[in-house]
Amino acid sequence: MRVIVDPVLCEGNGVCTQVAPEIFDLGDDDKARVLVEHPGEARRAEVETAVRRCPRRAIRLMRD
Amino acid sequence: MELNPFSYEFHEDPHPIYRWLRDHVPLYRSEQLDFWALSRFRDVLPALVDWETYSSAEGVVLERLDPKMLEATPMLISLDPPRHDRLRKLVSRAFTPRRVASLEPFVRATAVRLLEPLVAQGGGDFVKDFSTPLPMEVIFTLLGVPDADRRQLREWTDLALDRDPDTPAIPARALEASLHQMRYLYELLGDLRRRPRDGLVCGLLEAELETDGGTTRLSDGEIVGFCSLLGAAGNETTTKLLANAAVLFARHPGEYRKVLADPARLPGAIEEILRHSSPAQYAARTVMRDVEWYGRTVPRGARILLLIGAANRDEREFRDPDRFDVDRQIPEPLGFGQGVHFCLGASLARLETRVALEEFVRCFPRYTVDDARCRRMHMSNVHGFASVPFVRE
Repeated sequence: MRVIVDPVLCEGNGVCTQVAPEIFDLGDDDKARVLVEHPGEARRAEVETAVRRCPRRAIRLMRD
Repeated sequence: MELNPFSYEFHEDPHPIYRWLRDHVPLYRSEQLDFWALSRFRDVLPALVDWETYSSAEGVVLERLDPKMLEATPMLISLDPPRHDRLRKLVSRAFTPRRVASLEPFVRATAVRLLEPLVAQGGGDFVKDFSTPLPMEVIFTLLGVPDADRRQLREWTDLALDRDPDTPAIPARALEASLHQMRYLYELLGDLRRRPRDGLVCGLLEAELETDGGTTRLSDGEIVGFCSLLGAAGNETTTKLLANAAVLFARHPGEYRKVLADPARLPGAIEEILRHSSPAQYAARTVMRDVEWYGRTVPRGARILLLIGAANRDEREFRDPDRFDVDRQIPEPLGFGQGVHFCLGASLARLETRVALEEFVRCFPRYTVDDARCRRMHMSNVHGFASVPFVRE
């Protein structure tokens, strides 16, 4: 799977960085950055929680 | 039973009606007031996110707003993408959690200053003396409103949202107050143009956005619309959230003691206050295409209420939902909405509420609220108190 953050939608609420701190980080522009673009299946639950909890619905999960 | 968002009785305790709606009429229809309503968590959440089907362009309250006013001073809350996104992009930078965090010392100093006389008197009116002036100082400082004008501007803001019992007709006093408020904000804008100073509004005057067609700036109407929204949303909701907290803690001393023992629990407690007694009780939308719910068709053009207050007490989603539990885990908070319209001021509201309560807890480790003398505000989609007398124990 591939993780994408839409920089237009993201407003840096930082929910994803709390849910999955090893996958997401806040950049200097106050927008979420994807640290691990292709996390393994083992991380799926964590990433899906971040997708579901993003208040702006800015995270997308794509197939490789 | 019936749902009338303008009923004063409903404001006192909406929960019996909400429970009836969730259990028996998950898609509700009011012929009298010509609206539909959804109340279950798993119905409200996806509808909030689906802005293409559920449009905000006719406003997010049930009462009919003047389309000319909506056009002259457009507000984020009543715009759909792409116009919404253009405006939001220009203003959102000022409200990121990191930018907001820099306001903490100012918010704390303000809270401490407001609490001093209350400590000396051994109590007061939580709303009048604390939860009204605190967000007012924060928001009007951000906007650059001079000290001398703040009380008047806040009174107009309150009055503009005041509603008569049972009717969606906007009272003359409310219309008049919102005109005063708009006129004041246009004058303030003119003043800031002539004599620029630091602050959010001057930042908005200069903000530029690259688009396909070149660079755009905000129009005066857009800036006034935004200031007016910030004045209302940034004041009313935080005032009510704080007072709801004071009342809930007084009614649940066991939960208050948990927060006293460990103030690090406050952020979690605030999320629970937002769930249990959220200021924003519904968001109204206009349906853009025929949609099916529970075997009925809600026709294109219909008005529908997404009942956040009901969804937050849905037993299908929350165990023992009427219980106030500061340690409850809330995976998908609804109190600030979700999706493109997610509350722009959420970080600011969370910060103000946390800092205000940290200071209040320190000053009033034991207090009681005079329930009989508490009075409610009567607005359309925002629930909360106009007066909460409290004394130290």
